[in-house]
Amino acid sequence: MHVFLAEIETRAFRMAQLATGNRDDALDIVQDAMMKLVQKYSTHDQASWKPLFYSILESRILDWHRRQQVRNRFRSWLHWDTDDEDAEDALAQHPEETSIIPDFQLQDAQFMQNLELALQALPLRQQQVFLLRIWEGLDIYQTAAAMQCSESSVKTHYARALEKLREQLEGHR
Amino acid sequence: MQDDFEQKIKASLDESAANLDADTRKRLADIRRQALNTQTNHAKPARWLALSHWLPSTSLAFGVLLALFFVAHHQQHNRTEFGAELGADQVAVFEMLNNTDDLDTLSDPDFYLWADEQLGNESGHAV
Repeated sequence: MHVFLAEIETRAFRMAQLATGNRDDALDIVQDAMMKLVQKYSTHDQASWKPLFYSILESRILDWHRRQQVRNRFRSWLHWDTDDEDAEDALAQHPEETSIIPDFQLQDAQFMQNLELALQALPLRQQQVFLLRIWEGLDIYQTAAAMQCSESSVKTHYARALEKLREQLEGHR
Repeated sequence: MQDDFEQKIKASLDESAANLDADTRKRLADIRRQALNTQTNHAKPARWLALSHWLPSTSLAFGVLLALFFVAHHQQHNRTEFGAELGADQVAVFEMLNNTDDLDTLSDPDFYLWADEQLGNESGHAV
């Protein structure tokens, strides 16, 4: 279990961070997912850990979005400030440190920055399916299980996400 | 089978994960250790402590709290034409009480910590 968690933790964190736009919330989500996996499923077959972990993670991300929606409704209802302290400044997460690095690295950094913005702009389900498929390498069946949707939905979400990313990142291809 | 574009995306994501800052890596390692500790130390909490046990009463309490807040809010604004029409505030209350997602969130202790923090910020701005 230790090796498994160490192997996936950075990717899981980045997925949660892309979905929430907030580092601390992303860490909380990863913590919840790890805790639940360890407490409830550590005795399960090792091959099932990855889809189970991502199923928990995706569920926690959805919960986070639901909570944010309720909080936003409260904010507007009670006329609280609309400044969202939970959403970190996107620019602050992309420090300007590209001026001293070579051109090819600069291009990679720009691609990553644009990729991140394009991924964050995707609808949540498309973003999650895309990352699970392309990055975590889950197959269609495992992705459908993790996302609790049909296999045809996975194919549709993936195709749409890829199409949007191709459009958004046209200049980098 | 991934094409060049998909491979480039994957490589870029891999790089972003590999280049996480030291503090985030440390916190992830702490989280992992903490999670693994629960594997050995995990004991079921007493049944009466389970949050789900308190959910119905918490939801009811919140409903009453909302109603009280609504009445106080109404009096504060000294609305003399009470009852003429449903205002936006009343509609919002009914929407929240009818939405299961909202009630789930409102039963979460974190919500009240957040609300308290927001109220603190509000009074801070007011001063």
